[in-house]
Amino acid sequence: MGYLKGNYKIKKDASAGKDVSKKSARSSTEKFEEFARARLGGSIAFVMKKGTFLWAGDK
Amino acid sequence: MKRLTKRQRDIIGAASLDYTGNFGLENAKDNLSLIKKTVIDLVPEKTGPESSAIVVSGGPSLYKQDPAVIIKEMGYKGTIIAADAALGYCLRSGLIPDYVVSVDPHRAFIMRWYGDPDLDKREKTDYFKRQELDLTLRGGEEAEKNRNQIILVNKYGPKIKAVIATSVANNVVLRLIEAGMDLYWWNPIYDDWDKPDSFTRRAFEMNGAPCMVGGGNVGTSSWVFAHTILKIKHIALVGMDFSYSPGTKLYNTQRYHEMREFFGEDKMEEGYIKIWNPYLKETWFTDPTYDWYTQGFVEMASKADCITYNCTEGGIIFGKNIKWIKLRDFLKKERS
Repeated sequence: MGYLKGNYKIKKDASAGKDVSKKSARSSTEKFEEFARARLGGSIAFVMKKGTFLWAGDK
Repeated sequence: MKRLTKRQRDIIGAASLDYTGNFGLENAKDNLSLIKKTVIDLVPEKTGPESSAIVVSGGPSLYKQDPAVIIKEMGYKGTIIAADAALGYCLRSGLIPDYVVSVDPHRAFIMRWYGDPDLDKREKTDYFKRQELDLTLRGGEEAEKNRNQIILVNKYGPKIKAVIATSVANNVVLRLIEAGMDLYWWNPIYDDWDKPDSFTRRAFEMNGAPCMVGGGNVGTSSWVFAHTILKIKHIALVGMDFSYSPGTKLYNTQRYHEMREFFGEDKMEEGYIKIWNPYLKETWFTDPTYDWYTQGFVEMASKADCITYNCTEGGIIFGKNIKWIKLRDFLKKERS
């Protein structure tokens, strides 16, 4: 059985492929974060400062 | 999808502030003339090292476990705090909570749990059919179910204290007053009160109500109220899952539309987070917002001046200072 011989050259620089994949991963993370920022908020804000559950003004 | 990173949690926190900051403060202005008492005016009746409370939330395990039966059977004498989504379940089960808690600023969604006098004027959505937390209200015959809910809440309202955030929409507040509830107010902590133009500080300076950590959701707010205001030392959770049991259809999850929009119908399952529950020996799944709730809750529980007992027999809330036990075993200790 023969094999097909392509009329193109494969890049020998393996890191080039890695860069592409990293860029793609970063891009999907960024997209998710953009989506989360726009659509995934909860029912109310949630912040906790220095383990304080209750704040009733500066004393 | 993996569990959220700190950065991702911060992003969802920022999204929550986007949604609730201005909206909550506007509602607080509308509510200003109605603020007569705050949660500070509540004198804890059952304090001390053996004081206990049960926080009833509206997650799916509530309907699977039906905890009201056990609570009534064992004659529990401690404090019952219902998140608004669980109020209907409690009342239909003959369990009258001492307190009901609300925090979400939306004008329509939380109104359903008190019975919505203007239901026919609301925008038509698939909410009731697809994701309503109160399973009795889910499905058809919305108008009749809503009428029954109004009757039920009106009947028992005068016996229940409402622990109401100033962020709650004014139409919901008026409904609670109509139902005869006594209102005790608090401001949600929106942000760092020391930062310029802080929402938290503006709310406090406007109405003087104390500011309490909301934890992103009403179930967590109820738990914070229990140990911060009522000084309860042993707090059991029922119906607080922040997740979905194995086999739940994605269609019935709380953020189905959002997840489908981003991930696509074919890949949306990948957007959910699978979490192994070592107590149940089951894998539950959750969405990013619920994971944000969960990680925040577990972190707070580790710092709180109380012991938390997860009696849901479901879900993904476990960690330091959280004991996983059956509700019956919690009640056997006969705390009051």
